[in-house]
Amino acid sequence: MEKSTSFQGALSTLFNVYAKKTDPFIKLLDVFLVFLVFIGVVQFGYVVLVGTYPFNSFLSGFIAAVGQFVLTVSFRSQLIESSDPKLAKSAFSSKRAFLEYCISSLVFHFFVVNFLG
Amino acid sequence: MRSSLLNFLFFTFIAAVAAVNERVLAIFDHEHADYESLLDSLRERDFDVTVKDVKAPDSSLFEFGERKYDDLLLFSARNKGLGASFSPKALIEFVEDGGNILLAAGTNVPEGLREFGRQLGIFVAERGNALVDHFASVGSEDHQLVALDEFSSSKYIVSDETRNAGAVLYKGSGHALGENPLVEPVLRAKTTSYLYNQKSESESSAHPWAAGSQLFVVSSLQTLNGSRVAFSSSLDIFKNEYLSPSSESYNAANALFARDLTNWVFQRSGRLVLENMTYGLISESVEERNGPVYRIKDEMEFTADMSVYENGVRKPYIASDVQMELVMLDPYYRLNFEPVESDLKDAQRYSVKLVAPDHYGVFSYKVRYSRPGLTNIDEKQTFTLRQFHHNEYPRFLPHAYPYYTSAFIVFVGFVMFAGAWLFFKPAAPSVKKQQ
Repeated sequence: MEKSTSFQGALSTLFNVYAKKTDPFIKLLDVFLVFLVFIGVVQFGYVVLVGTYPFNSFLSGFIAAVGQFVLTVSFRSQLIESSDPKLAKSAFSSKRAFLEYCISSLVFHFFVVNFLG
Repeated sequence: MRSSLLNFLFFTFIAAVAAVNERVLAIFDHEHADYESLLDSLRERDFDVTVKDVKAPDSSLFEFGERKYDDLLLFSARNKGLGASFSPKALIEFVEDGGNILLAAGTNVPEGLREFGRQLGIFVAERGNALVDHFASVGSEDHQLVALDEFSSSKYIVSDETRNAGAVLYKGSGHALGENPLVEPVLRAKTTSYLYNQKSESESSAHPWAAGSQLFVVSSLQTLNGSRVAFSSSLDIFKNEYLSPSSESYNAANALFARDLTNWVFQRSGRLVLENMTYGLISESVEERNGPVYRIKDEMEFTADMSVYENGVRKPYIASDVQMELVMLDPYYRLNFEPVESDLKDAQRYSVKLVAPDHYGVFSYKVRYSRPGLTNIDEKQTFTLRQFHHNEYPRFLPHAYPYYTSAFIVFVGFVMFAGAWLFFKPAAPSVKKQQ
């Protein structure tokens, strides 16, 4: 391990550890998160350009991206927690975490479509 | 027993609906043979005329709280009072109940009629006044018989036929009018006329009760509920002398004027009827209209039918200045009605199309129309305008497609991710332990 106090050094350490130590599935999840952020930023740029006329549609699309991001992040942290052997056995397994993720996402998408107008 | 009661009820019902505005009570406090021509012309027009003396014990307008007559014709030539049945209070009660009154009194005016006139805004001259005109008088030596032809401009009170028939021969007193907006003068004196008080000569030349164009001889008032009162300051214009064709000083204008005036006062002319106010969507059929609730920005059509009575005959009322209003505290629309074709024979249908205002609340559709000589119209109907329903907003807007696609993409991404988890998820604990 390199010890470095500079910002550059900290960043490069972060990237190396990330590349080596994280589960490939978590990396896939992270790609999904980046994709969602990209979608949200594109929509926000669109509303800044065009204006907020169908404001409910803008909110619905934007919150679809943001909300799915939040749900996926919480799923990710539950996965990390349930697969970490150092912690005590967490309250629920990764399967249950996945189930909760799916149910909450489906309910969330139901509201998104309803509000989309 | 039961059948006779039913018979009794049936006949009273028939009697009540048989005659509308037809029962005339003619009250005189002097010899009334001179008015037979006028009364006969009323009878010819299907009025049910009852002639009584003012002091007769059974002459009264009301019985058990109900009006016994629809119209009152009260001619007075004495200074004495008219009794309790025809006091100003009783006359006002009669008018408020929907009755019509034609009053006439010449130089001798009972104080009760002057008081009643004051209530209406018609200031009748005191006793002993007579209208004198040194320039426009006809025939008589004392210059009291004048030919007057300045009629009211409303063709419902004075028809065109009367206007073209020449001047009315007039002999009597006069009155001044106050500021009551419901009063409409029917006949006014010429600018060279004045009121001459036979008792106090010197005073009258300095301060006549009224003179010139401010001196009116026949005036009318239409109350807000439609009943009509006319006051004539002369008895002579209604006498047989001028009205009867067999008399030598027969004047056709007098006969026509008396006919028109009685037609107007007794609601045979100038009665405007507004019916069938409907409002609804243009796309709705007529039976479905007048619903309780409509939506903002609906395309709506408002219609009304108007007809007017002229000489007892109901005709379509045609005018270009009838307006409708759509009001909720303030008028959101105030538009002229347009006449439209319809299959009504005795009414004219008016309609206007508009887009319901962009404001939600309880709106009134009002038609208010006041013209001299015509019944006041003040009708209203209310309905509610609601907001758009949840699914009535404009949908699938083209410039909102980025939002629709992004929501869809997020969902598809989620589904793909869940699929990846289910089918490709590695066994997590074993990987960690190897680290």
